Amino acid sequence: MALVVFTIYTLIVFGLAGVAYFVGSKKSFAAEYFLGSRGLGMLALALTFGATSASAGSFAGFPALIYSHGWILALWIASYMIFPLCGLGLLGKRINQLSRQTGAITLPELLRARFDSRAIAMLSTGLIAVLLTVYLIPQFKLAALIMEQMLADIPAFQQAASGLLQQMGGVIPGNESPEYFLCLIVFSVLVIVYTSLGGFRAVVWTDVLQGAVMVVGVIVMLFLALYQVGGLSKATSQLAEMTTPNLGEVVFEAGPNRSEGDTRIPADSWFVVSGPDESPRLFRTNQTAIIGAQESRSQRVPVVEITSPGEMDAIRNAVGEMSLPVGVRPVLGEMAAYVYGADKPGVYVSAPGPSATSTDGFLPLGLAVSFFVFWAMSGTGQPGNMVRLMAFDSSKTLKRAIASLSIYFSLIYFPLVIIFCCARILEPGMDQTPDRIMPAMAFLLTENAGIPWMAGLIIAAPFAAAMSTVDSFMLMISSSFVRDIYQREINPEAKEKTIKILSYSCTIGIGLIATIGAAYPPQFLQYVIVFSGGALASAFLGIVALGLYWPRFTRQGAIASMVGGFGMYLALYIAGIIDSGSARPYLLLGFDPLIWGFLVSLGSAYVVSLMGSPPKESLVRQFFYKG
Amino acid sequence: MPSAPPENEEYDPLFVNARREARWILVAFLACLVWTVGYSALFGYEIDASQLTLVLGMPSWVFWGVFIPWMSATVFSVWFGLVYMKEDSVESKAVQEGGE
Repeated sequence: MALVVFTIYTLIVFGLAGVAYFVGSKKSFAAEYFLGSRGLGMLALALTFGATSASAGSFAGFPALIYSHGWILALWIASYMIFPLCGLGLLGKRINQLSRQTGAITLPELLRARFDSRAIAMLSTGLIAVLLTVYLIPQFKLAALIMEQMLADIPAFQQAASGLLQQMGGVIPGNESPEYFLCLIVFSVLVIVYTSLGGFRAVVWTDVLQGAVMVVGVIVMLFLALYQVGGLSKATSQLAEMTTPNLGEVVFEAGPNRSEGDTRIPADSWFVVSGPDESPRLFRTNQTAIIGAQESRSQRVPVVEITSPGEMDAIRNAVGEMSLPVGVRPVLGEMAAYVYGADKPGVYVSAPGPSATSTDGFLPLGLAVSFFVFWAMSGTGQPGNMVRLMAFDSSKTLKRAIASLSIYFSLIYFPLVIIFCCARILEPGMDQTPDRIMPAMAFLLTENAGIPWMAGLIIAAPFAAAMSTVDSFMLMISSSFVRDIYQREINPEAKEKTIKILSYSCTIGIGLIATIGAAYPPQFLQYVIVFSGGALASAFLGIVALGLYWPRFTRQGAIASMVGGFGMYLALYIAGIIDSGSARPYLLLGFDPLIWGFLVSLGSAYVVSLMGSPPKESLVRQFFYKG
Repeated sequence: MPSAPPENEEYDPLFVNARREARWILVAFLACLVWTVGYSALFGYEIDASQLTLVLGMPSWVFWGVFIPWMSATVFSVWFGLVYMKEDSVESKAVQEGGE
């Protein structure tokens, strides 16, 4: 049933792209393809801004974090309360005014005009192209993972994946499943075709659809979760009594009386083992284990041990008999307790929240400040969001979009915290693979409510979020090459037909590069997303904000701002990698690198601008004075 | 020779309005930061589970430190967008003068 809903959704996306293609075909190509002819209305501006900001991380990574750490995620995400006002209101009017005044349809074009500087345009084009491409790869991977989880139990999908393995076995990377590879191909074809075909207008129209799907999915889940858990007070009270689980691995051994053929111990199987004092210990597998017909042991699979007595009783009552296949016994590896929060009731309802790896907990105070600044300012500083600010039709639209988006985000982010706090009660023991919690909850809630078809709609929400981010960024990178490099630097007299062919080719090429990257993904996906998002904001927020509001801001100051902000951010990441040996940034005085990058960006801009000569009078007059 | 425009020239009205609005947005951002992180730092960290109080089913520090400022920020943003912000023309000077 989920597949049917999903297929309908896909057809609608294609339909919208087709209509956008015909609507836009009679207008000037570049302005239409990359900016929708500056015609965004209120609903389109609010939802395209919201849907692009809410990447796949909002519906896969964020629920996983809530599930793992509890109510502290309300504080972690809290600056979304003010993000719509900052993201649209701080820069919106001025960016729109100046982009119309200069005819700019990309951010580098706007910066080139504002500072009369080819160097700034080239530098910003390079940063946007590289960092957005890096950002795209994990989005493709997350979208494919979401799709794989949704389709995993459907026989037709399993047959198609097996067929793919037979046909293309040599091409599929060794550490990725054929199911994942099939989903990656389907997602890539889908998103590349409709983005290439319809350009900015198609991206915005599908964003509106995707934005609506997201909010409906979240609201349906909220009501179902609260009803099934017995109310929020009950859920929070149960969370308050919970202690953190122990995490480890298990191998299953087959005895002589096992059944013939392969023996499967499905993911999410419960089993009980007697402890040293004969007290029962309760475990849940987080991955399918298989003992081959000719083998005596399964592979190692991750396992979670429930430690709260009340939770163990509730699970036993709900699950009933817990037995492994006949003749199979578990051999447990070493189980690790959480570094912060073990044996500490209340850790899921208080700050800093439990952590399996950090002795300071999940969100110490310095990081709480950092994330509050990070979400609002990083979002405001994203070139993808700035481009949307060039595209609305009037300041009346902007005003209404601020109001609409504020309500929209309130209906998404805080409810997500409530839903996935309830998930710890309704679907316990998934702590080793928490990224699966979103689809798992969608299926659980809708099946319990007797409306399994609804799961398809709910799961379309994270898929929609990934799509809307990917399509927007592909177009941004494409515009950087076509408009800022080819049309400006290589062939200023290029005919519209040439620009058109080049634009389609670039969009398809970037999609293919991201697909190949996602087929061989980097190890630390979440860090790649955070790194590239923060790097873009460190480089662009200072130069754009000061460029719009400070007449004394000079070309030299602008270069110092961009290079200083990005350089500081990058330096703290490199220092962190050297210091810790992993892909973690160095938290100078406990604050995230974005804070330091932003401070250095503003400081460099101020000092260098005041040290040099004032900017040309003609530039200041053009951008800041009447007439 | 670079120089500033004459002092008797007036700033673009959209620039003046947008700059004033941006200042108030930054004040609102800082107020949210101080309220949310400040309240949570004082009342949300290292709570004894036996001392936990709930408001509308949430831990009280989440209710007063995140939920209420979130609702307040939403109401403020709606008011700011619909009422306070000036409805300036974003058309370029060239367009306003009759051609582009």
